[in-house]
Amino acid sequence: MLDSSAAFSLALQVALRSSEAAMLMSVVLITWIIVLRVRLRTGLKRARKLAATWRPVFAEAALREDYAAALPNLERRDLEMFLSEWNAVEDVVKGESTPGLRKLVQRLRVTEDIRKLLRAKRLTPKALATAALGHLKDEHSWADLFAQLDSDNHVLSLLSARALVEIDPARAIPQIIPRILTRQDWPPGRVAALLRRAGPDIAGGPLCRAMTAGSVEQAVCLLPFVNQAPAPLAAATLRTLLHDASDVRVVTACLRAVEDPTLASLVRHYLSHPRWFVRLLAVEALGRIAEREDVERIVHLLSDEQWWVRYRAAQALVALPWLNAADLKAIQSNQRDRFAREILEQAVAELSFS
Amino acid sequence: MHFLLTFTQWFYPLYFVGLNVGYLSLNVIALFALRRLMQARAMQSLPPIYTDFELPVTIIVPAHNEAVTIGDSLRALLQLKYPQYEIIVVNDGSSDGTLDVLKDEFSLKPFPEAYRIRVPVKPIRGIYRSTVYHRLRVIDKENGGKADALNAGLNAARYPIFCGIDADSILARDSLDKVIQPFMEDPSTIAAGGTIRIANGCEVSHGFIKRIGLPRNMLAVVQIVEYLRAFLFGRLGWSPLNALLIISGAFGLFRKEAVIAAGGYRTDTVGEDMELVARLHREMRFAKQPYRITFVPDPICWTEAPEDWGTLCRQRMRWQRGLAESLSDNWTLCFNRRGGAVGWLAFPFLLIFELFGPLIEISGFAFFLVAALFGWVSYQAFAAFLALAVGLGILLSVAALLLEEMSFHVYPRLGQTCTLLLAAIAENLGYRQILAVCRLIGLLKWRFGAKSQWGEMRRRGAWSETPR
Repeated sequence: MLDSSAAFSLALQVALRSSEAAMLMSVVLITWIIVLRVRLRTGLKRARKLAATWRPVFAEAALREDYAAALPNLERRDLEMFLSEWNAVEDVVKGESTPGLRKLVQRLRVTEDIRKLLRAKRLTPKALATAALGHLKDEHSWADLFAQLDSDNHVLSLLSARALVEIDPARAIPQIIPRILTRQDWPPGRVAALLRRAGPDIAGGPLCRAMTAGSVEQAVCLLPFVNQAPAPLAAATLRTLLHDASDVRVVTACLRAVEDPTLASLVRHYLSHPRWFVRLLAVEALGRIAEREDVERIVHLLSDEQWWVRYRAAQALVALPWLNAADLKAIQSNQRDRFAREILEQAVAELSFS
Repeated sequence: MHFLLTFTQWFYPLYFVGLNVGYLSLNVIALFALRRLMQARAMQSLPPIYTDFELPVTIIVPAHNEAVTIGDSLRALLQLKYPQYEIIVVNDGSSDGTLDVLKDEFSLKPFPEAYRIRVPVKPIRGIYRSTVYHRLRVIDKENGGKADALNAGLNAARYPIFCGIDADSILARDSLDKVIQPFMEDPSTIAAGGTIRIANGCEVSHGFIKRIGLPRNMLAVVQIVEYLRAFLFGRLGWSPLNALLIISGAFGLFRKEAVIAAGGYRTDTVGEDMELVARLHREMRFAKQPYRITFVPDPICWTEAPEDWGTLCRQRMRWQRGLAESLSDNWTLCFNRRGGAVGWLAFPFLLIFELFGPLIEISGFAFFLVAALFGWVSYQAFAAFLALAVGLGILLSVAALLLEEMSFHVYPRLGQTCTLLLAAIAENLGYRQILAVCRLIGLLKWRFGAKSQWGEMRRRGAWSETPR
């Protein structure tokens, strides 16, 4: 017999014990699953009950600042669930904190409890408290929220940034802008939403100063948000950067943001840039701000060597409000280049289909 | 002879130990990854926002003889919750009137597109655009297989990210929103996949899951547990190591330029989805370019599972063949000094435990059975190793169910959880062994068989409200 050796006998014992351990572990996991399921059901039941009690109250309080009806009892153990519901209502009401909803929380006298949640070890209560304290515009929590701004967890740091902006945007924005440069984990959409929440008048100045006064990297990082500044300030910033730009990254970031017709002369300069993606962005930008005299320049790019440049040029042409179908047909038939004719035909067809 | 027998009696137990240690390690990694993800989810007090920063996505739907299902599938795709996306259906030489159905139901008109061939494809017969749904375009081409159809869509894609899906996939309304997140958070992401769930037993209305349920067919129930094992720790475990080698063809997002630079989908393999991911890993690693290939564990795509052994066996044979082709075509990644975790861990793991696994497992069972019959090993030894293999298998299946319970708990009723627990046990008592035989046949067909074409599957579609 092969299994008569001492080593194999030992292996056999190990196998037997391991299979027993595996079975035992399976039983433990099955019990765990059932416990989790029962806890989930109980939790859902409580959450449904809480929502049914408080949602009508939130709706009334959101509509009436002077809402003074007696409030349902809120048990401390339900505070997290309550905050989850309350934050959701706050977010739905156009993301603006409403006085009625704020007063409701003050009447419940739970603000101190919410502040304590900021120091919780678990992330969920921390996040709920951070969002709630922002909605409450709680000045007392500024220092704690500010400390959280540099949290490793990007959701917590973003929530803290939003809370700070809600409490005092003028004080928060100068603290947030340097962090936009360093926090690679802040999604751009969220950053734009933060700046929008602060408002163009408050966010615009510090943002544009940081773009023009800092390094190329700084400008490239902040340029996607330039249109969160008031339009004249955004245009002035882009003019400065485009005028002095030697770095292609700055040029492309600027061209993406161009919305102001006064920048047309600077944009035209880049229509013949040796890099195709610069020409592409330039013709796209010119399409947004073009004057009648630019038609020829755009038509010229219908014959570009790059398909995408031709396509964007064609799209820019069909989007020009003063060119009608007959004009476009005439431009198309005047083209000697087959690629130019084909791409314009496609763009015209796309327009007619949509 | 004695040496050979001694070697063999040690080899199989050690193989099982290696296999299960590997899976348990993946389980632990997945547990932490899932915990982090669920914490972040629970903290998502930030309201959902759509800004100009979402990356636009092209959805490519390869269709071959899908006349019955394509209408519903497309109508659902047109209702996805995402700010900017386009849909390109590629009719791959269907003979059942798929194109006519599309023309009728979506008011298609010929469209003069300046079609650019960046990846070579079979001749294009025509391009159409819907006059009702501006997002929808249809490419009609000569038959060239699913990979060729995906390449045709890739050539026409306007957006930087594309999503390849099966024509019969049922997506969650927010599926794009979920799977695009890795691209938004890390610009070096070149591919992302999500969890595929089984739609059998669910109620589907207008192309979306209306009510989640378990199928009556036990074979389909067992596959639910199997999918949980495969996705919740099989793939989630590899993802944090940037060693994910499989993104399901039923739903996956890719960065278009990275795929085109790699040459697009290969048309000479049945596992074009897996082969592409393996090739992307290889090319990016060899070029020393930073990249990420990520897995999103959210249940975002639902698909019909086979309910009879014949169809299931054929499906697994095809998958095994696809795996073999993908690994053999990219073998230079394995143990390469630039291979990283994917070359040193995931690739050898798949090679030993997934590709050659069926061969080793079946020969192992056969060896111990024969050895016990001839008295070379005692029945006690045979029983001990059988108990170990089955016991660890059950533990892994139950662990997958625990991960599901800790995260998404998609099946809402306690009774459903109990049924799945029973299936987790049943899965290891015959089902896995039978599938190992099918996979072994697939492996042999790869070595000796002929080229496969579009995978045909017998679909019941009993869950759909729409008559099929």
